[in-house]
Amino acid sequence: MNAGKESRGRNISPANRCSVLAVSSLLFSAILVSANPVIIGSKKFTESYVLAEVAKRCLENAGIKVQHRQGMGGTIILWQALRGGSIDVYPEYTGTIAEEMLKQPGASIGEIRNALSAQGIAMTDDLGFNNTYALVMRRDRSEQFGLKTISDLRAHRELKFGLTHEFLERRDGWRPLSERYQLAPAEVLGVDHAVGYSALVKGDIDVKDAYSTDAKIGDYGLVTLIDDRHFFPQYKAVFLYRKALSEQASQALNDLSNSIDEAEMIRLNSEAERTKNYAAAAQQFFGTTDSTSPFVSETFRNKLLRWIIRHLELAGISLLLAVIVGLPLGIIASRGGAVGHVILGITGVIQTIPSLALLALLVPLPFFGISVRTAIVALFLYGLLPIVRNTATGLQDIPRPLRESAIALGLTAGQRLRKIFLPLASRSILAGIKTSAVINIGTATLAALIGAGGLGEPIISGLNLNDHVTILEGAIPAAVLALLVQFFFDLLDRVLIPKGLRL
Amino acid sequence: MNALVHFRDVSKRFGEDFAIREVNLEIRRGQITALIGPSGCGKSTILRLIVGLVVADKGEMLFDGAKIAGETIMKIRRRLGYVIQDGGLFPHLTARQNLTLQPRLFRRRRNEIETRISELCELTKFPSGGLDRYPLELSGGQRQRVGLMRSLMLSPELLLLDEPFAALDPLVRMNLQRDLKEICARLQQTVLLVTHDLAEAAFLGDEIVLMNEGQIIQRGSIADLRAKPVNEFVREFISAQRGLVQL
Repeated sequence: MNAGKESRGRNISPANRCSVLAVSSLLFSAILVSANPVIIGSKKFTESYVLAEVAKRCLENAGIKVQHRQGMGGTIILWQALRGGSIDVYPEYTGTIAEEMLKQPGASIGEIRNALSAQGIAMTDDLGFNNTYALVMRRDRSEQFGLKTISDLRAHRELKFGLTHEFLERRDGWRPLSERYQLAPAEVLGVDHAVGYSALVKGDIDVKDAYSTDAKIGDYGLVTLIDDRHFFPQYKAVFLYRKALSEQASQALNDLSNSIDEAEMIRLNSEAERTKNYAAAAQQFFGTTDSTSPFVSETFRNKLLRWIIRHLELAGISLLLAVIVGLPLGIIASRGGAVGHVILGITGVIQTIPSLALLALLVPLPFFGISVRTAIVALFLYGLLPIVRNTATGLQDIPRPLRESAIALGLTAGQRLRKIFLPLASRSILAGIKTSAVINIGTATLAALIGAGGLGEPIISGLNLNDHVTILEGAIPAAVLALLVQFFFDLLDRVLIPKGLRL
Repeated sequence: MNALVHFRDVSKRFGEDFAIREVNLEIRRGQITALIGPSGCGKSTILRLIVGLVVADKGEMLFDGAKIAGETIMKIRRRLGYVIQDGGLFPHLTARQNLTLQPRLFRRRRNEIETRISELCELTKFPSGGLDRYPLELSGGQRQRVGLMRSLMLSPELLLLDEPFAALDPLVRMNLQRDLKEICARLQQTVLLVTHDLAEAAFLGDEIVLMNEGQIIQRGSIADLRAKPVNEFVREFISAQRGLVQL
C-alpha cells in the first residue's frame, strides 16, 4: 500500500511544468477562445474534489478553459458521464477501474489501458499515491511495541482492533486480511469511522482501518502499518479522460503523474477539510498561497448567487413544463372516464416514487445521464400531479347550472373552456401550480446528486463532510426561496384569479 | 305552421325511469307557454331537450321546421335564450361582460352591442350603473334581470325560462313577473316557461301545459283546467294551490 510513498517523490514542481505549457498554449487559446470548456467531474468525497481542483488549476495554467462539476455522485454515475461525454476528465482509482468499471479484478495497468481505450477513454500514469485500505495506529503506541508492518501485529494479541462495519464485511476486508496475516486479536469491535478515530486517539482502541490518504492520519499524527504481504489491492489515483481531449490538455494532465505522494495527499485533504475550500487546498499543491494569485477562489456571494440562479432554473423550467403538460392532462382528466382515471393514476404513481429513486431510474436511460436535463425531467414529473389533479377537480367542481348556461349560450367547447371554465377553475389550478412550485424548490436540492448544481450542492458537500455550516449555506437559502415562491404566487393569485371570484 | 317547436312521440329515459314518455307538444309563436307539474314530472327535461343538454332516446323534435340534432344544435342555440334559477350568471365576469360574452364571440359590432344593452336596461328596468358590478355584488332580483337581458341580447326566437323566479322573495318575484309579462308582450316574444307555481303559470301563461309522470295530462287556459279537469290529478293539482281568499 505504501508503494507510492517509497519510490515516488515530488521531483519536479508541476507548477513549473504547467507554467511552461501556459506560455506556449496562450497563443492557441487566444485563437480558440470559443472552444468549449473542459469539464472535470468529481465524486462525492474530499479527495476527489481536491484532485479535480488540482486538475482544474493545472489545465487553467495551460490556458485551457475549465469547469469543475463537484460531487456528481458515485463511480457508476461518473463513469457513465465520462463515456457519454457530459464530462471530459475525472479522478479515479486503478482498483476501482479494474473491479467495478471493467469487471476485470487484478487486471494489469496495460490491460486496463487497452480496455479503456476500446471505450474511447484514456488514463494518466498514477499520480504517485495509493489510496487503499490501511491499518493505522497512534504513533506512541506503535513505537511502544515497535510495530512497523501488519505482520508485526501477530505477536501482540492484546491489541484492541476497532474496525468499521464495512471493513469487517468487505471482500478485501478484515476476514481475508486476518487469514493472510494469521492475526487473531483478542478483541475486534465494530465501530463507526468517525467515532473510531476519537476512540483511537483516546486509547480505547489500538488499531483501526482507514483509507491510506485520510486527512485524519495527518491531523492526529497516526502511523500507517506497512502491508508487507501485499494484501490490499492497489488503488492508485489516476485521471481518466476522453481520448477526444486536446493534445495540450492531455499533456497537462499527464504532467501531474507521480507528483503527489501519500503524505502530500493527506496534507491537501486535511487542508480541504479544515477550510472547506477545495480550490484553496489545491492551490497549496502548486505552492502559490500568496494573495496576488489570479486564482482566488470564488467568493461566497458569487457561489450563492450561482447556486440560487441554477436552483431557480431547475425549478422554473420544470414547473413551466409541468404547467404546459399538466394543464391539458388535467382538462382531459376532468372529463372522467377510463382515460381520466389512467391519467390521474399514472401521475399519482409517479408521485409515490421516492425522488432519489426517480433520479436513479432516469440516469441510465439514453437521453438522460448525468445532466441538468435529467434533473429537470425528474422535477417536471414530480410537479405534474398537483397541477393535473387541481385542474381536474377545479373543472369538475364548476356547478352544473353554470356549465349548462355556457352550453346554452351556444359557445363552442373551446370558447367555453377558455372564457368560462378555466377562469372559474383558476383558483384551484393556481393552488396546484403553487404546490408544484414549492415542491420543486425543495426537491431541486436533490439535483446536486447528479451534478446538476443548485442549492443542493452545499447541502450534499456538507452532508459528506458532516459540516453543518455548509449544509445550512444551502438549506437556509432553499427555505427562503420556498417562502418567496409562496409569496410570489400569493401575489399572482390577485392578478390571475378574476376579481368576481374573490368577492 | 304556426308552432315554433314540435315534439313528436319524444321519450327520454334516465336508466330505468322515463323522464318523459311519448310526448307530443307544440310551442306556438308569440305566446307564453307555461309547463307546469309536480317536481320530477319531466317538465325541465323538455326544456333541456330543446337546448340539447340532453338527447332524446326516441321521437322527433323540430325547431322552426329543422330537426333538433347534434349537427344542428349549435345553430339552434344561437336562436334561443335560456334563463335558469338565479340567472346562471358567470361570477368571474361583470354584468356587462356577461351580456357581451355571446355577441362578442359571435362578432357583433361594438356599438350595436352597446345600443342593445341600453335598450335592454330600459326594458328590464335594470339600472345601468350596476352593469360594471360582479354578480355577487348584485341582489337576487338584479341578477335575474341581468340573466334575462343576457338571454335577450341576440333577440332569440324562443325564450326558455327554467324556474326563473323560484329563489326570490315574494315581493321581488311579483315585480319581476309583472315586468317579464310586459317585456314579452312588447317583444311579442315566444316563451316556454317551466314552473311549479300555478299562480305564476296562470299569471304569465297564455297557455298552460300540465304534466305528470313524464306525460302531458291537459293543456289549455287556466279557466279550462279549472272548469273542465280531465281527471282527478288535474282537479287536485289545481285545488292544491290555495289563494289567500280560501284561508
